[in-house]
Amino acid sequence: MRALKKQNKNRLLSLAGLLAGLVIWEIIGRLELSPAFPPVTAVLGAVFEVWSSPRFLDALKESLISIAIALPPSILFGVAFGLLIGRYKPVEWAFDPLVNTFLSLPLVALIPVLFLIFGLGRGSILATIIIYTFFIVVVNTAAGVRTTDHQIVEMATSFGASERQILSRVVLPSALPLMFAGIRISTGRAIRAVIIAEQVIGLIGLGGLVQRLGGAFAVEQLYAVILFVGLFGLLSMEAVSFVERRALPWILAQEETEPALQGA
Amino acid sequence: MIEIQNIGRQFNTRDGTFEALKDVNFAVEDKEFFSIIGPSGCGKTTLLKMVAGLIKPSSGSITVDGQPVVGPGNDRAMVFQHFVLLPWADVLTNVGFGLEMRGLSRKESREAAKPFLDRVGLTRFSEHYPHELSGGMQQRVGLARALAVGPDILLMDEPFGALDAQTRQLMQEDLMRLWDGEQKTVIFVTHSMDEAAYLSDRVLVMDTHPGTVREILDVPLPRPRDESVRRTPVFNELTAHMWHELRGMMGDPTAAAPE
Amino acid sequence: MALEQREGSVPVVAHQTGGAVDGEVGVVDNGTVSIEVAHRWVPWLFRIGSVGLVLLIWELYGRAQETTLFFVPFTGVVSALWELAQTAEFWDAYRQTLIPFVWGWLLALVVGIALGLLIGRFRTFEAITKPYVTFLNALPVSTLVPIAVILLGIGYASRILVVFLFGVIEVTLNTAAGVRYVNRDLVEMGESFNATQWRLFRKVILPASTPGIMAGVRIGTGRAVVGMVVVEILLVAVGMGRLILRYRGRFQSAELFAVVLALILFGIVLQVVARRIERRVSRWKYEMERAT
Repeated sequence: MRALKKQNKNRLLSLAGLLAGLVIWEIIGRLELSPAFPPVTAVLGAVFEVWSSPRFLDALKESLISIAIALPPSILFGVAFGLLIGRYKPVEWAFDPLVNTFLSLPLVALIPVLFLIFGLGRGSILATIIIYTFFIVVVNTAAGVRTTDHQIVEMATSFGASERQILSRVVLPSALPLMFAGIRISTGRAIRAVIIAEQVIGLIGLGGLVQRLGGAFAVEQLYAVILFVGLFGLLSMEAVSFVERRALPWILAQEETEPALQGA
Repeated sequence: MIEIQNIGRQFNTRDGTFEALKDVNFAVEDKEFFSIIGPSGCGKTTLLKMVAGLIKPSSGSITVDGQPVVGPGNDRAMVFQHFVLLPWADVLTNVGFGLEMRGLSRKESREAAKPFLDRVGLTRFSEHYPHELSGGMQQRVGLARALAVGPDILLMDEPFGALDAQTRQLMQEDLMRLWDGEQKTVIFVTHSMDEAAYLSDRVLVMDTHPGTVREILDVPLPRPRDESVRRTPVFNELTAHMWHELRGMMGDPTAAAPE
Repeated sequence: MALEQREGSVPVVAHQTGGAVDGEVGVVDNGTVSIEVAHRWVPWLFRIGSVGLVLLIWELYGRAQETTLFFVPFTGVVSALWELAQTAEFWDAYRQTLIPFVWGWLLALVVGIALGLLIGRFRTFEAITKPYVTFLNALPVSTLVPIAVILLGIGYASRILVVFLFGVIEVTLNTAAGVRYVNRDLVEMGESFNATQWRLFRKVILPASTPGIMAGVRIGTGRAVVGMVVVEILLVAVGMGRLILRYRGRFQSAELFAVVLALILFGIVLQVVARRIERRVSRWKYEMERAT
């Protein structure tokens, strides 16, 4: 009971903090201290206008299409690759340096190169999404494979399990929690990837919209778009978490692999 | 009959070759309850895994009914100290796991597993998950799983080692009753002299560094056995003898553990 | 992985990544899979081999192109970088890129650690800041770049702000986690000696959270580098970004690749250094975790 009360108290505090921030922002906006901070009410007004405008919806559609095309294959191949790397040492030895390099470098820096190779179009955006997400899924899946309890593998062997059976009935289920963590993280990263790539091109998608609104000093609308992107990111991660919890009832919380947290 | 002949086993480690087992020779009769007891690090679990076909000996051979052991087989099933159940599957699926590995479908193996779950008295828990069960119950699931594949030989690796003392005793009695009905050969690795004496027909006492046969003791206690057997003079003599042997092997308890 | 010593087991390291012992690694009692490695250098053979293979493919594919307009072979990039490194202009650009980075990064560390300490220590503070932190964590920070420009123009100030924004979130989150997850036992022990809140903080909580803080520094540094590059490619007036733009406009692809490589190397070097430092500072924690 006490824990519940504490939780509610914290929720109230969060809400209070949020409201306080909004009020301060409103005041700053009204005082017109900077064009960068319009009053909150103006932003909220813009929200309805922008979120329903065809310009916005088109841009949203473009970005979503890019993600829909690039993310699923990236995840699929990432999982397959991660399974191989986690299970077979020689594969790990071979691909370790590659994977680690890609995780240590600022992936954004590759964007100009991608644009050079794939041109200023969707191809580069897809490529960006892939490099942002593929390695994360690989690393987390591999880590998940490594959490396989060797006692369970031994037990399965003692009952005559073939390598294929071990992979599908022991290794894969063991790897699921971290695998899902990787998928959840890469969903967030896919959104970041598509936005930054579109920003660099400056024309299409939500990223392009952000750049154009910024260039036109249309600050209220810009905030409206930013708000949407942030909330969209939150919701999609929540959605994956939801699926995760339903699919893995036997696991409580699991931490994501650290390397997954870094990079662009 | 299981014949273990001239078994030796070495491991290459950072500090050179480590001899885990040397010149191990003994035989286990059909339908016998055979325990192996010895100090930590003597290789008794390694030996058990060799019979299971999970580890290969460096030298020597193991035959079951004349056939050499080359890997896991339908005639042998293992029960593990830490239960080793699949946490993501329910109890009934776990019991049927061995059957699934042998080729049955999930549905078929679950169906076939039911009577074995009944045998260990956990029918009510067939849809539960392992983490919802107590240690003793989990081990019963492990036992049911082993029985379900219909092995002639049960290999039990300190199966009650992870349980508290009271549960342990109950499980021993349950195992006794089960074994009396089942007529299987059992090789039972344990740390506990009481347990070895209570359950077995014969006890192999192992020496350590390297692991080898020190002596094989007969357990001249009548069957069926119940709890009262633990208080008979024969029982006490036996356990005292075992303790004397083991004590001598353990030497100075403050010396560094085999590292 | 820890050296395991279980009943009937052989004390052997199980499943280490590469560099296993000569000959066969034994099977530990809990059934760890034995790895049969011929020699210690086998893993390295695979590693170096695969890197070499990739570079080879890069080189050959680049050469196979009819033109180096879109894809430059490895040697081409390296020589272009070498050439550039001789010019003063290159280092000027580097400097102009680095200045906002360093300021933004330092600011991110200072503010991030301070905020993180507060959030980790005081639940109330955490609750109040939660909506902001959560939102900023989920938001692609690059969308804030136009806002920064509107606020502070296109000079150093907005660039510093962008780098700061990129770095501060991770530093804060990791610092907060480091503080929050300090072993309860340690805190209780300190309290049992009747320590004051401040002393408890300074002598128990702070040292115990150092690994978490250093992790935050490492990750935050990586993010700050990302911010630096984002600045260069979205706000292009000065620095490396200007070079990129120029080379792109003139189709000097080798030079473009070279500049990108320079940025990447910078990022990697910083990561490696940060990781080293983190490992050094957190050594006690690693040892502790290894032993359990």
